Amino acid sequence: MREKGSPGRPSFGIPGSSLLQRAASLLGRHLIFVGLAIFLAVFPIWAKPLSRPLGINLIMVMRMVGIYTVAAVGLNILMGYAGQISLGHGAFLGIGAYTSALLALKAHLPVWLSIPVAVVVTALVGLLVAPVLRLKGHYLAMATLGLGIIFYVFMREMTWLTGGNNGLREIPALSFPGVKIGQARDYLRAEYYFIWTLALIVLLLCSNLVRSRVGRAMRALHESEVAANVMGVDVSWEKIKAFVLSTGLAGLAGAVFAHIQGYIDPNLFTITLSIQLVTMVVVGGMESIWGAVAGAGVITFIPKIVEALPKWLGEVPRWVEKYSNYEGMVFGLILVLTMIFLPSGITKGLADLVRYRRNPFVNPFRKKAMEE
Amino acid sequence: MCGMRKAAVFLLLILLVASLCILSGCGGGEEVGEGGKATKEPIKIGVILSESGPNEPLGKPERNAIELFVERLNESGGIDGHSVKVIIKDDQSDSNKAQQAAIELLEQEDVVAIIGSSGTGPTLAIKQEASKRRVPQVCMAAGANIMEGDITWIFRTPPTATEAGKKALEYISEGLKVKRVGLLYDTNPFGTDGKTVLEKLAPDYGLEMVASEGYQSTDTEETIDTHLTNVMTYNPEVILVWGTNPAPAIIAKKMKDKGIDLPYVGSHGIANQEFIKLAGDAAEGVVFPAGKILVYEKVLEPGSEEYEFIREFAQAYRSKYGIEINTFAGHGWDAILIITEALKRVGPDATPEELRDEIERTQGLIGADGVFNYSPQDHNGLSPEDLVMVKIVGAKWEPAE
Amino acid sequence: MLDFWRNCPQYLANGLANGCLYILVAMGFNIIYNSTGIINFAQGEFSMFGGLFAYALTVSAGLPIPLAAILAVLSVALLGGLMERLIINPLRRSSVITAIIATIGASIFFKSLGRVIWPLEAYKVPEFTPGNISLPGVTVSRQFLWVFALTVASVSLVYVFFNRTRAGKAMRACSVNRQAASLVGIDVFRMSLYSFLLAAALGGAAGLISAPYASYGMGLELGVKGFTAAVVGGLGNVFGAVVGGLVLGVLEELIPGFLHIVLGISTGYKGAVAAVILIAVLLFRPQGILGKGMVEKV
Repeated sequence: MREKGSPGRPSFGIPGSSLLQRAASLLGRHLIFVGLAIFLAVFPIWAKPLSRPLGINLIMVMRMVGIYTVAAVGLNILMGYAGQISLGHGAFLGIGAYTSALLALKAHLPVWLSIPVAVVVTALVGLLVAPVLRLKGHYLAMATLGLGIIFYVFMREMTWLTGGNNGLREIPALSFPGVKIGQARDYLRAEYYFIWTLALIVLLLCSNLVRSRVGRAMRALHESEVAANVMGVDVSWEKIKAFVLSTGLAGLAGAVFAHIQGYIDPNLFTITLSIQLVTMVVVGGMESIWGAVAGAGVITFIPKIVEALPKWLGEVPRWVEKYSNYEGMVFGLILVLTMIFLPSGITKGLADLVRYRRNPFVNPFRKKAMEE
Repeated sequence: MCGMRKAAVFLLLILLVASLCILSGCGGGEEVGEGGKATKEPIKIGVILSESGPNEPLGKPERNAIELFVERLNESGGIDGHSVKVIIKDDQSDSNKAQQAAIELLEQEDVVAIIGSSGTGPTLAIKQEASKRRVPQVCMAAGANIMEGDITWIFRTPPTATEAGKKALEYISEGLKVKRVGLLYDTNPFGTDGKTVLEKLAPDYGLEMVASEGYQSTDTEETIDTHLTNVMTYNPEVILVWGTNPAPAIIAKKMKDKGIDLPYVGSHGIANQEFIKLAGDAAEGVVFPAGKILVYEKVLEPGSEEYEFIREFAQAYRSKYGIEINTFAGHGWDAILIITEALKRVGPDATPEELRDEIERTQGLIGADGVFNYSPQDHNGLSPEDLVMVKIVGAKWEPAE
Repeated sequence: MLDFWRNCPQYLANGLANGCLYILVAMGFNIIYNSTGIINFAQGEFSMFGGLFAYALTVSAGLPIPLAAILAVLSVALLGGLMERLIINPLRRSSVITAIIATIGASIFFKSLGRVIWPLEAYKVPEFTPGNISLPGVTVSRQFLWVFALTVASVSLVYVFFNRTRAGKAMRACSVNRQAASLVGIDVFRMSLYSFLLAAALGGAAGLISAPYASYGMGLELGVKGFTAAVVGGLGNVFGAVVGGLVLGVLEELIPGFLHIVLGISTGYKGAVAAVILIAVLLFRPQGILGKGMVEKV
């Protein structure tokens, strides 16, 4: 597809047998995982003294990155591997959050039980609306956008259950038998470790999944649904599986979010959140599980860094301070520019840079000239 | 691929080494900043406002007022020689961003108190953090449910939806002497909060809520007209509208267009010049509950303490920003006033706990919204007497009878 | 129930007025879809700019209303053309997902830009002719006549463009088969530019007639409803949009009225009506009520 066939440019760093390559890629896969795990484990040690001079509460932000990662990995599998878009995932986070919060508040279920139940409920709702997956491309995008609107309206109007706009207050903090995570003295760090343990498990399972038969089948239908069908892939069933998996993960992210937030209202789970999740997946790279981590990190950290700029530079122009006013312009630009210049996202783009030692920024005009 | 892996391993090693260095060396580092409080250090107060998002019209004047107040306070010597420093953060009307801002202010900036936020959702999210870390919070949101549950650490400056609702219903039953109320409310947090309160209180005033119809903030003129048509089906004797601009202005205009000759009672959400601008002639005769700040020249006695207080504020605000004060500017002004007055009484070195106790002891404090009296049972401060019904006459605000 | 029937004329009139708005937005969706195969998620934002430009030109710059209206529509068209050149053209060989995301990015950008320039919740654009018309059971503002006239004029102009002009015929050829059109010498990429100019102008006109109140937040909702209208009429069927817009507009007013007066359910659920109609039509009659829809299914 790409420049694999072009002369004088080796497609892999290591020439040799395919067995060697496979061993190397296996090691590489685990290396990324182990590396990320070690990095995250030691992160709080140096993040704590660094937070104050930086003006960014690193652990608190990383905690949110972890939650977004869980949701983004699910969406990544749906978008990048199965090739289906969803503009309604914010609502599924909301369903997870409300289910877990309501179970804990009204049914007095312990949190370690209410979260898994919420995941199952959200996945079931995903299964229930799976018929929309019969639609393709733009139609699916608009239909999922519509689903997001419908769920939002119901969360807002079913006041007897959800409290409507008044939201749900005093949702119990994260806790397990014997371990009170949310009531620890340094609860941010405890929540950080809990969330990232969860996120790493999700990452590991999903990276194995996309390499399994299921993952290959999903990728086949991203390339061409007709071809996949011919090869014996049950296209609609594979799509439903990917969709249910991604809604379940969104539910998990939402449920954990509800318990660390303590207060939720419908306005947290609007189209804005859905688009934010899509942005994370796209910026990180649609065909890479690890891209979800990078995307969630970049998108979550950008506003924090801009906010901290006055602390680093002393005086900043007034418009930098008013950043939140035009945050939308920045994110819109990021989306458009990523799509034009770096359509495979930052992780893939940077990996290509190393692999081919070439400019990762595909010049759209040159690309066209080559194709024509 | 190979190169990348090597680089990753290298990077990790560096990180590990750095972590170990920090671990062994960071023991005494953190306390250094804390000891210096005695040397006339600025007192830090955290402020979280909604300067963007749906609550933007509230957050902007609040910020203006707070900045103006602190500027004036520091010019006149601060508190016992300590200047006051406010750290202002924008929560974008989002309760998650508000929670993050609260954590940042409490962990990184060591603020003694938090002001915020403009809307009910973000306020509740901040309440969670402030109570957990035992720091007093003064909010500028009107939601009735803020004062449910544990209220130890939270105080409020604006009149609640309950008080505004009581005032409006009282006006309908005693001023207008009618019974059948047709309610139109916005489905945003402001409107639904009002709807809940009004439906609960109406029977106490002998009123019948014949229709209650929710519209969306983004509805077109025609859709709003449909809602008005629905309400008119039930033959109300007065139209009560609970929402923020622009829909209340559209309703007023539609009522005029269609020749519906019923009294129009609004909420404190339209206590701004924008409403008059948007509704034009149709704004004539509209009545709504608001703080005395809007019509202080007419309802307060010139020379009285309250009158002079608001006049000074209004003049300073006009000369700095070139615009008139409104209710929300008043909420911001009062929030910072309450904290700094308590700090003056208890001393600039007060811990957050001492400051909280002192805020709770606030009695007879004259502010822009009225006279504040806090007690362990009541953290709302104002009483319904601090509200007046305001009528729009000749595109100006006048006290209604 | 009786009350509901008595209110019906008013519901119909209001639905008709909103329907006109949806027709113009839906036609914009269709025109772009036909010549590029893209659904432009920023279509609603064109309308936002239409309304806000009209405000800026009449109230801030003090121009007479007719001149301001024409200038506003032209500037929105220019914006559409700019968007095509800067975003759509470089992406013309990309996948559907890429194009969707890029137009979403554009819509977020436009909305935020509108907010930076016009930050208040609403701006009042002067009406063409103030006042109202009363018939038994129905009262509509005089503006309604203008809305109706402008919509009829726009639809007729688009009809003439597609049937009488070279460019219009070329665009129709593109919508039938882009490759074949390119083989017979039609510049497909220029047609893409034309379609954005036209769609943006129609969107701008919609924003203009949705006045007297314009705000930065109106784009998304109008976009979803316009798309729903396009789907109801059959996506790709430019004049199906007329039927789709009217049907959606009227249903949207009738359903909440019915819910409230007859069933006693909160009208707050009304916000979901358009989305429910959209999903129902997509799933059960994807070709739209008039046909010619081309929803791909496996």
